[in-house]
Formats: sequence, C-alpha cells, structure tokens
Amino acid sequence: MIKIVLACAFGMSTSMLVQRMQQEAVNRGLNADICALSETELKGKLANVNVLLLGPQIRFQLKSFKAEFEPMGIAVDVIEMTDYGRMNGAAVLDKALALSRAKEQEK
Amino acid sequence: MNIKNFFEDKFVPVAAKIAKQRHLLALRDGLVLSLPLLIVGSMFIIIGELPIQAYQDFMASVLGEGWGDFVWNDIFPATTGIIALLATFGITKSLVDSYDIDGLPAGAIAVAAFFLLNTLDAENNMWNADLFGAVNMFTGIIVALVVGEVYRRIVQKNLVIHMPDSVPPSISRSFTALVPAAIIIVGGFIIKILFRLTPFGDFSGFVTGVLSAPLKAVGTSYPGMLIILFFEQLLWFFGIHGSTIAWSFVDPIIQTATVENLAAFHAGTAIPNVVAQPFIDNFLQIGGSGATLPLVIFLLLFAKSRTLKDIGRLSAAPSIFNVNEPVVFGLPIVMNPFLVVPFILGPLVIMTITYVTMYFNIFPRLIGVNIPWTTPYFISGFLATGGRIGGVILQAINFCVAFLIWAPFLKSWDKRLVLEEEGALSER
Repeated sequence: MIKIVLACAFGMSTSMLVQRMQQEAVNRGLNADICALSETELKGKLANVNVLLLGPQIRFQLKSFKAEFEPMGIAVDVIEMTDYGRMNGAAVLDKALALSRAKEQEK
Repeated sequence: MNIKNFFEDKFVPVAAKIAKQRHLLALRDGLVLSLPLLIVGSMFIIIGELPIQAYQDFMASVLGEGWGDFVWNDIFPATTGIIALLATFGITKSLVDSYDIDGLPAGAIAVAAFFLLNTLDAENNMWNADLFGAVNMFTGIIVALVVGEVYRRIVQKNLVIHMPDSVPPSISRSFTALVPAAIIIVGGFIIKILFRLTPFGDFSGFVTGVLSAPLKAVGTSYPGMLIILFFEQLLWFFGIHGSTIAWSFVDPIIQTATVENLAAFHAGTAIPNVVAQPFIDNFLQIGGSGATLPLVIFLLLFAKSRTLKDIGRLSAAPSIFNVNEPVVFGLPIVMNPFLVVPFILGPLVIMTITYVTMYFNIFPRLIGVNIPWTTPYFISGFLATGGRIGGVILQAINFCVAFLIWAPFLKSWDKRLVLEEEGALSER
C-alpha cells in the first residue's frame, strides 16, 4: 500500500489529477491511497504518507517542503508541467512509484 | 544567462519569499476565515434584492410587504457586518500559529484590544454596530498584527506563568496567556488615552480618518490594478501561482471597498468604488487567470491539431468553474513565446474596459456582494451586480474581446502544431 499526496494552492486542479491517478492505479491492480490537499493544510496531515508531489505552480515551495517533510521519510518532488496540464495520471503515478522506491532503498 | 534561467534564479526566490511572508500569509488566512460567512451573507442579499418585479411582487404577496428586511436586519449584521472582528481574530491566530505558538488565546486578546481601541457610547451603554464592519477593517488588521507580534515575543521570551505538568493543558493555557493579556490590555489602554487627547477621539477614528482613504485610493486605483494584474500574469506565464502572491498586498483593501459598496447599496446612495472583490474574481478571470475560457472555446471550435483539440476537451469542464491549470500547463501557455502576448495583454485590456465602463457608470457597478471565484462566468456577472443584465452584457463584451485577442495567436500556434504532427507521422 502506497500513500500519495498531491498539493497545490487550493487543492482543486490537483484533485482532477488525483482522479486520473486513482483510475490508473485501479487498472494496474495497485493498492494506492491518493489524495489532494491545499499547500497550507499539509502540516500534521502527512502521517504515513510515502510521496508528496507539488503542482508546478507552487514549485517554489519545494525547498522548504523538502526540509520539513523529508526527515519524516516522505519523498517530495514537483510534477512535470506537461504531465500536470495534460492530466497524465499514468506518468505521475510512475513518478510517485519511482520516488517511493528510491526512498525505500535509501533506508 | 537566458531569460528562463534568469527568472528561475532571481524571480522565483522573490516570489517564494512573498508567498511565505508570515504577515501577508496571516492576512490571507485571517480573511479566508471570514469568507464562508461573507458568501452566505451575500447570497441572502441577492435573494432579498433581486431586481425582478414579478419575483418581488410574488414574495411580497406570500410573505408580506418588507419581507426582505430580515436580510439587512438579521443576516447582514451577523455575517458581513462583523468582518473586522472576524479578521482581527483570524489574523492574530494565524500569525501567532505561524511561530508554532498556540494562537487561540492571542486571538481572544486581540478581540479585546479591538474593543478597547474603539469607544463605547457610555451614556446608552451601546457599541455602534458599524464599528465591527468594513469601516474598521484597517483598525482590526493593525490591532491583529501588533497584538500577534507582542504576544509571540512575550511567549518566546518566556515571560509567562508556568504550571506543573499535572495541570490539564486547557487550564495551563489560560495561565500562559495571563501575562501577555495584562501587558496588551494595559498597553492598549495607554494608547487609547493618548488618542483621546487628539482630535480623532480614538485609535479607530485615527485609522479610518488618516490611513484608510489613501490606502484605498492607491490599492483600488487603475494604475494599481494594472501593475498588480501584470505581475500576476507574468508570474503565471513562468508557471508560478501568481494570483495569491500578487493580490495578497491589496486583499484587505479590496475587501473593505467591497463592503463599502454594499453599505452604499443598502443605503440607496451611489456606489462609491469601481474595484470590489468580484471585479477581480469574476470579471477579469474569465475561466481562470489570463481569460482562458475564450481560448478553450476557440480550441473546441477551430483547433485542427490533435494536441489542441485534446487540451480543449480536457479543460472545458474545469474552465467553466474557472480552474485553468490544464490550459496553462497543458497547452502549454507557460513559457510559450507564441502565447505570452495574449496571455498578458488580454487581462489588461479587459480590466481597462471594465474599469472605464464602470467608472462612467455605462455598466452597473458591483453592489458589494462576494461571489465565489469558482462561480461560472456570466452567472457571476448577473449576481455581482445584484441581478442586473448590464453585468452580463459587460462580461459578454469582455469575453468577445478576449476571444479576438487570443484568436490570431492560437491560429498560428495551431498551424505549427499541425505541421509538427504531420512531420512526426511521416517520419514513422
């Protein structure tokens, strides 16, 4: 089971992408818990989360979110612009899985 | 160094700093706290004031003459009418929380300080209800920022009463706040006495008399709008969420202007301000920042390349609710030299049309209700002007202008993509 959180300014456009990723996960028979949050409500809501992905429009938060959440064992990165805009659920899910695998190997 | 690197290295860090600036963030979060109440209050005002004679006659025949008075006498004073009070509490709490200190007691103290710096009508033992509304917004903001800063400094310097660990947290919390509360109330009282010696009478009189007017004049002026809007679009062009960053400086000013309009509407006097919240949320953002709904319509009707057709279909539904990330990142508009001109120019032109036609009362001004930014275009124009068709006509004109600005640029971009796609096909 993998837990993925997507974050943007209001959690609105990311929630569309979440739907596509969930669809993709179901198609692959993956057990994944994926949700969207607003960047201001992340604090305290990321227990047991494996991957945090930021919408490209808030990519300037990457450094501070990395500093805050990576010590909790969460992989943090920014979604590719075109994958984000074209709501490419498969590509973003692949990215999340790769990040989570890399983080596992670190441990 | 090319322009993209220059932007990422120099501009992004500045945007990040603004986006994370503690006091601006506290202002934004504090106002967000009152937003649901403002919107509910606004909906009731629209229900009560819809200028359709048949509807008004029907409601009066069912509920009696003056059926709509409850909106102003009961709903308004409890929602929009206490915006300054809500902002004071919310801003203080958010600010203190941002220092990882419990902000709840600070919020309560700030509300007390807010009352302290206003003047009670002692003879009748009454507070003037206007004091809690937009009139005192700036007073509330100043009180909130000062109380928040003073409170956190006292707590950080550890000038607080500590209870043993066996005492329940809620009780020890009330003791933590004791020293800051005493210092802030005494300090506030001294300030109150000092202002009593001035012609302003009290602190809130000083703020409304001296600071509010110039702040509002600058923050809602045409050049002000032009600069902020340009800044917002530029940030979005580089793929940064420009809306919250650019407007954070003037949000409280615009909210104040909005409620002023509402007060004038209620009093039946001329509506004073051209710029109110829906001016930005509902008139400039046609389908999202950059007026992208006309663009999506163009893609659906005229695009020939596969990419643009796909993006059009994908972004149609969210665009109705003014969410346009699929367009901005998918098309993409971000850092696309083909589309930079209409993306920045379009909103500036629309803003100019809206500002000028409202300024000269060619189209109705905004009555000061808050309409959620996700409300579909055309409906929002109807609601924001208090149910006047002129609002919809203005939106339609803006829509057409934006469409005409987008069209030639999209056409050439589309042509290029078609060639690319054909090339890609023949290579295989």
